[in-house]
Amino acid sequence: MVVLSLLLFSQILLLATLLVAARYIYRITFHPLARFPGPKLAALSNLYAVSYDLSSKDSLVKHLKSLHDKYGPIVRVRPNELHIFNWEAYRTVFKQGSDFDRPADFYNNPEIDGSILSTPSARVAKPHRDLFVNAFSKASIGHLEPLIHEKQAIFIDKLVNMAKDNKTVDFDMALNCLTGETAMHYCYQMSLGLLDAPDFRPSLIVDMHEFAPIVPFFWYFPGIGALLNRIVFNLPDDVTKKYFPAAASAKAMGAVSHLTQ
Amino acid sequence: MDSNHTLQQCEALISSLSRAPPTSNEVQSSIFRQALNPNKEKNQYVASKKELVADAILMFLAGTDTTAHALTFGIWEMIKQPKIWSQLREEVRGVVPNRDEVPSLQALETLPYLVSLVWL
Repeated sequence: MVVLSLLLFSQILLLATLLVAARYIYRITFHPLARFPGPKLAALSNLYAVSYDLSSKDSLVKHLKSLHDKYGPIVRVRPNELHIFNWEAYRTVFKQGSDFDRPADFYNNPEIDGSILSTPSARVAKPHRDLFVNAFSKASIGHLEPLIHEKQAIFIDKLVNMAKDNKTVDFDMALNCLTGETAMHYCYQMSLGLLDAPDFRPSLIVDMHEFAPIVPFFWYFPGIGALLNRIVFNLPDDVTKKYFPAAASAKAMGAVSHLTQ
Repeated sequence: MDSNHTLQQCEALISSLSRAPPTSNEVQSSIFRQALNPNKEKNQYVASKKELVADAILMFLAGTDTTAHALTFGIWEMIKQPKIWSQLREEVRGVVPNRDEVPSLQALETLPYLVSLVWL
C-alpha cells in the first residue's frame, strides 16, 4: 500500500514537473514573444523580475537602461512582457485605436473595477472613455490655469515656510499633495485639504505611499494576494489599521466598490 | 482626513450629481456632465453608477501619482545635474521679470529648453 501510494505520488510529481518544463519550453519556442531578445531567465519565468521587484531597495526599472544597452531597443523583461525604448515602436503600441490590449490582471484593482481603465480592449473602452474626452480636451485644460496658479501659490508659500524653519521636505509627498489637490478640485470641485496638512503629510497621501511598496507582491502573486486580502480585510478595522496600515488604506478604497455593488 | 472618508466622498459625489438637474451649475462644471447625460440619439455610452464611481476614484489616483512622480524625477535630475538647473532658470527668468509674478502657460510654452525638458 505504501509502495503504491509512493508510486502514485512520484507519478504526480513527474507529471507536474513535465507540465512546468513544457511551459518553459513553450515560452522560449512557440510563444509569440520568443523571437525578442532578453535575458534567458526573464523569458522563462517572472522570477527574473521578481528578484529585483520584491527587494525593498531595488526594482526592475533600475536595470532597464543596462538591459537596453545590452539587448537593443526592445527587450523581453518578463515571459509575457516587452520593454520598449524606441519612439516608433512605442507609438505603434500606445497610439489611439491601437489593437494592443491592456493586460487585464495588471488593471484589475477592485477599487476601480468598472472604470475606463479596467476594460482591456481600447475599442471596447472607447464609447465609455469618450464621455470624458471633452472634459480633458486641450481647451478645457487651458481653463485650468488659474486653479493651478492658486494651488501652486499655497504650495510655494508652504515650501518657503518649511525652508525658514530649516525643515526637510519630502518632495514626492509634497508634489503628491499639489497634484492630488489640483486633480480633485478640477474633477469634483472639492478640496481635500491636502496642502493644509502639516509638513505635506495628509493621511490619504501617507496611506497611498505605504501601500505602494507592497503592490509588486500583488502583481506577481495575485492568488496569495487575494487570500491575504480576504484575511486582512476581515479583521476588525482598528486591528488592520494598527498592524497593516497599508492594507487599511487599500481596504478603505475597496469599501467604496462594496457600497456600490 | 481619513482616506476611507475621501473615497466614500467619490460615491457621495456621483449620487449628488445624478440627483441634480442636468442643466445645474453643479453638473455642468463637473467632468461627469456628459457621462451623466449621455446623448442616446448619438448612441453615447450609458455608464452605470458603479462605473462612474470607479471612474471618479481612477481620476484621483491617475491624476495624482503620475504627475507628482514626473515632477519628482525632474527635480531630482536637476539637483544631480546643476547645469540643467541653471540653464532652465536663466530661460524662465526671461519671461518672469518680476520674481513674485507667475508666468502664463502661453509664455512658458514659448521656452524651447523648458518644453524639451518637460517632454523628455
